[in-house]
Amino acid sequence: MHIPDGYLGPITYGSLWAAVIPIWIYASKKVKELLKASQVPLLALSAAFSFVIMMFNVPLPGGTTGHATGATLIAILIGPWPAVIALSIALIVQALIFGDGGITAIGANCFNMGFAGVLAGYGIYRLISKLKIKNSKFNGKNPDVKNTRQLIGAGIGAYAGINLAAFLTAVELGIQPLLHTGADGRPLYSPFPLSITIPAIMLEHLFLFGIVEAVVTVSVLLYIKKSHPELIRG
Amino acid sequence: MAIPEWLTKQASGVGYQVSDKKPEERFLDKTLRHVVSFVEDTMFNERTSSMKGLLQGIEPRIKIISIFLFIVILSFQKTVSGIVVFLVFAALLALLSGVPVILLKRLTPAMVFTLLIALPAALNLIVDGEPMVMLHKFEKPHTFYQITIPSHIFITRQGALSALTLFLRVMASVSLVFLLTLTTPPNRFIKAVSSFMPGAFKSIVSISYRYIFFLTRKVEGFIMGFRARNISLPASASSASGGGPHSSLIGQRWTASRIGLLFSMSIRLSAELERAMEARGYDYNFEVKSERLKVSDISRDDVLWIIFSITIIGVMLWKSLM
Repeated sequence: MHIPDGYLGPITYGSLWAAVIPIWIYASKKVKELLKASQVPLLALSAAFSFVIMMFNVPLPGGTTGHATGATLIAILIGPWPAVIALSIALIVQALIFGDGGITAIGANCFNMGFAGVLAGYGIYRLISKLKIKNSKFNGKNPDVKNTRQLIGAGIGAYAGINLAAFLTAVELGIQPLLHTGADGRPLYSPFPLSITIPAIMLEHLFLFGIVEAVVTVSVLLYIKKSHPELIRG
Repeated sequence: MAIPEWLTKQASGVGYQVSDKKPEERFLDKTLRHVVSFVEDTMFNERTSSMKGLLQGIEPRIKIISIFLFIVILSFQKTVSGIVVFLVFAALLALLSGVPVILLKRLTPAMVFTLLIALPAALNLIVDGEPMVMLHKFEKPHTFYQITIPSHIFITRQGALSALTLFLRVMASVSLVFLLTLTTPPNRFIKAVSSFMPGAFKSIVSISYRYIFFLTRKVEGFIMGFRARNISLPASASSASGGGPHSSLIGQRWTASRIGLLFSMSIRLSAELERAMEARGYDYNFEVKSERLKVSDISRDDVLWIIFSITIIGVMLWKSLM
């Protein structure tokens, strides 16, 4: 999902840089308010952790494998705004040091995965964790029920978060032929229209990477709840 | 002395196998490949950045700004010839920096991937235009759901140009980024990158970079440990865990537990780091001063590079705006 250099035209990548800079400023302010002074080591280690999560391949039935971004997982574990910072730093390091994702596309990649994916995933997680269903066995203060709701919320949130990020990526790539064409009508950047980018990117995320993201998020939360419950916020 | 029977037997089942047909596709191997290539790339960068060459001698902050501007100007180029200028320029820089072969090796995966993405754009299915090469003729157009396949499939002039533009643009951009990393020692690179960042981001970036290696080494250790424990796992023993030795569930559980462990490790490390920093009098006031670029830091080569870069950027910008 990392957009490389050359696929987005200046209008698109410039707008996304312009959109992501205020988000970083706001996230830094929120982090300053929410966390105590020792935020520097926590954020640094969280950024390193989110970088390393992307290295893990997860097996799926049938022999397929995929890797997760861990966006919703990190948001649940350290909070949404610290997660925005941690993921953005991981994406910047990936682009600059390892050429994974373009330098001009840092704004786009951080907006899609480090902001939209994180906040959507975390928002859905919070919504489902707090949801009250009339006469449902999923209500009440029983810790097991609360746990189940949190896990369902985390899974759906992770699935929705990565799919939203993928959708934004597909739209950004798909609008290139509309925004930038040469005198002879040929596309100058990503040549594929929305009718191709959306199904091409969304199908693999709806049926593979979304599932991997949900599986990783729920299983890691389950493990942490059992082995290190003190690390779960709220 | 006779060889014991157990030593001559071939292992009946390997715990981490996902598929017998494609052993190279095992998820652990893929993860390990990621880890190894990450460490290898960094070690390679360390080696190539210490070689004598043009870009190795340029101050990292000046180099980062100039390469970033080159990539931005490259993104404004609308003609194939404009993009080729940057590609030739990147090749020249690679030659003068002594890294042409390494650069080509690094570029190969990106080259294959970009070709696969760009080639379909040459067809009239993606970019309509003047026919260049006829590939196939159907009797009539076909419609699948809402997608219509025209009766004639051919390569269009506009499509071929579009695919070529995308391919060359991506190759030129990626070459410039790789040149930056191949010719700058990783630690100096991170220091230079963080010098452009505001406040606490400086410390966060440099600390996280160091701990990426630490955590990556841990992942390598997890994989080696898992392999060592499951090298000859009998099928009967592992099937008890549900789903048999080839079950993806075992792999998912293992991966989840390692990511969870890595997170708890990160939190513990951050607490230790916090105490260590406080003990050394570190101030968490978000005002970490970075070293400013002083005149004494700029060498004669840097000045020549700046003049050269401004000239190239100016000419190409003027050409793209014409």
